[in-house]
Amino acid sequence: MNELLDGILLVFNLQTLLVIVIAALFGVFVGAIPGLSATMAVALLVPITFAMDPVAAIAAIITTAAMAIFAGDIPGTYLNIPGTPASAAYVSDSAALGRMGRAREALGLNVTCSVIGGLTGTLVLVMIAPSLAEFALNFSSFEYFWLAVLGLGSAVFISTGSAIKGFLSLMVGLLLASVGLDLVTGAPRFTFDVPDLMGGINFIPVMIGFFAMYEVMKLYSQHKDQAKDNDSAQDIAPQHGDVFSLVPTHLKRYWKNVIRGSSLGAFIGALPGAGADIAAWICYAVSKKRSKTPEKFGTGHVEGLVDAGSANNAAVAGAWVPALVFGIPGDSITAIVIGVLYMKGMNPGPTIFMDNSAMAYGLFTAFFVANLILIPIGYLAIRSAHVFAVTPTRVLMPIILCFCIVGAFAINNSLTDVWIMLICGVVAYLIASADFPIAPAILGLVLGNILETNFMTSMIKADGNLLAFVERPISIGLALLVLLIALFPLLAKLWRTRYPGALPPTKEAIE
Amino acid sequence: MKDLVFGVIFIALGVAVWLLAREFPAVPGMQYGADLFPSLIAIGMTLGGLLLSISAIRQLRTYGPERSTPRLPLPSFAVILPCVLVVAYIYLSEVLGAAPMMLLIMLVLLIQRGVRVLPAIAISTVAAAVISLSFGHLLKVPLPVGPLGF
Repeated sequence: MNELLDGILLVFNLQTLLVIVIAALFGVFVGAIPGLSATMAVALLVPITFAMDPVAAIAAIITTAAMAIFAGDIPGTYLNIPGTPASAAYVSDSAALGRMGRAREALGLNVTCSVIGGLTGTLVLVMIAPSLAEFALNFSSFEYFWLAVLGLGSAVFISTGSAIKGFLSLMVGLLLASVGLDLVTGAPRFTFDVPDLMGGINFIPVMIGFFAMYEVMKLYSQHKDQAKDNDSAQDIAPQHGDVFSLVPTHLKRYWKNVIRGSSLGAFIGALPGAGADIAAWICYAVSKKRSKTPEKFGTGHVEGLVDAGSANNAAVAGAWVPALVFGIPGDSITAIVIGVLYMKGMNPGPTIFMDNSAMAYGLFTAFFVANLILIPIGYLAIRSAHVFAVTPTRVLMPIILCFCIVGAFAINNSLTDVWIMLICGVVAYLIASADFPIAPAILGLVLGNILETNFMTSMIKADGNLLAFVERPISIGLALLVLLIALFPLLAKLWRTRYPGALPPTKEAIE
Repeated sequence: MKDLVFGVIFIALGVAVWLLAREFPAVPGMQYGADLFPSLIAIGMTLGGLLLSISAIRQLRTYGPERSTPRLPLPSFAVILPCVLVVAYIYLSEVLGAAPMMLLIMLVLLIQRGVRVLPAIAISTVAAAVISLSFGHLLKVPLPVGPLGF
């Protein structure tokens, strides 16, 4: 009980609350600018969180992510350009409502569903994570090895697009993870006599490169006139109506959709490798399939919007379940968060609830606050949507590039990290231009060390006997789950036949 | 075509990783050394690259060069520009200072995208000052100081 109170007090102090409000404004701004994703917002935020207390830092990340996912709906509704990939699933509906002059109504409903979804995801996290952690205390290196394989397998097979490309992207991430001194033998690997590489590649500059530098390069790869047109085409149609006046009517009518979207979204978010965007796409498709009026979808119907709008925010919280309990990221945002947790001395894993229980409760409280603050900040953002429409990306991108340079440098005060950021940005640009998904590379980088360390430890324990990996009941269960994930492409094929359009096209899967 | 190029790149990368991994020292008495994982990654890259190349060749044969995956676009100067400017920052920030270099980077990029000179100067000056102050002073990041003192 004391720990719960301590945890709540860690959030309810002036400094942390101020950080949450600033992070919320930052998240809304980045999320609402088309082309800038929630992951990019978090990647840019990380260098700033270094100066903060652990709970304030994590609260800032949670708030930014939740805000950015909602704010992606703003340009989607007003301009038919989803601000983040998580809003792409229902952009045709929200944009159609915007064209009818009902943008405020759509966004009011969106923000309410986002809050409900986010709170449901948080409840799932609060209820499942501690008991799952208790169960995970029985895990040995064999189980952790399989969990890492499960995370990597999900990254390849659950992400949409070509499985071969996903696999190759994963290999890039694993290669980056193997740089530095070998954990078992102490031998330097791929360090090329650079002392800064001996400790391995810090993955924050990699994230900044993959998500922010890549976006800058993408903008500059567009023809100048085309980029100018995209900026000047942002013209908002006149709107009428209140933000929240019709929300109770819609919620009364579609309450089942809210529950379904929130719970399914939290579940999908908890799967390693599947993030908010995949949750939104799947829930939108399920909503259409189950609807009495599927023909109305895409024409400004609020039903799919309710489902997918709740799902993407629920997935943000759901993704924290594997991240906190096992140290296995649920999506690219939690991949960044795992790095931050390590740097702040909070080792993600089942022991977090014993060693840092006040901190864990503080984190849960931060989730609730982050989702509740969505209402006032979201309301202000909806009322001042014009600001986002008139902010041209060609002005923002040079500023973002400077943030990238200074942010990467700030991690270790080393220019080597700026080189890493640059190289990763170029690699991300090249592979993304050939439709390779980037998320598997991130998961490979985060899970590479976990995979290798647990494999080597298990091999030493079992004296080289590979059968030891499937001797314990939990490890064999996890091994079978890995097999099931490997069969996912086949299942996805069946799913696509049943729910056409359920999964996003390759481009959206990049984030 | 693009897939074929990337398939070949990954095969080459896999071979290079494998060659480098062979040099990692083994620990006496241990069955698996520092080379195990890099070698597995090398195998994965080579096999994946091979599969990608085969699928690209199949596409080329079935649909012809026009309808298969598009060609790899040649990088334009505009897309290389941000990279060149980052390299310039790495080498020149110690000499000129972090803030003047950031100002220069933003100015060049804004003008390249068609922003008029005066607004570009105003935006870059304000943004460079904000970034420099927030990171250098508030977050105490030791950003390089040039002859002008910032």
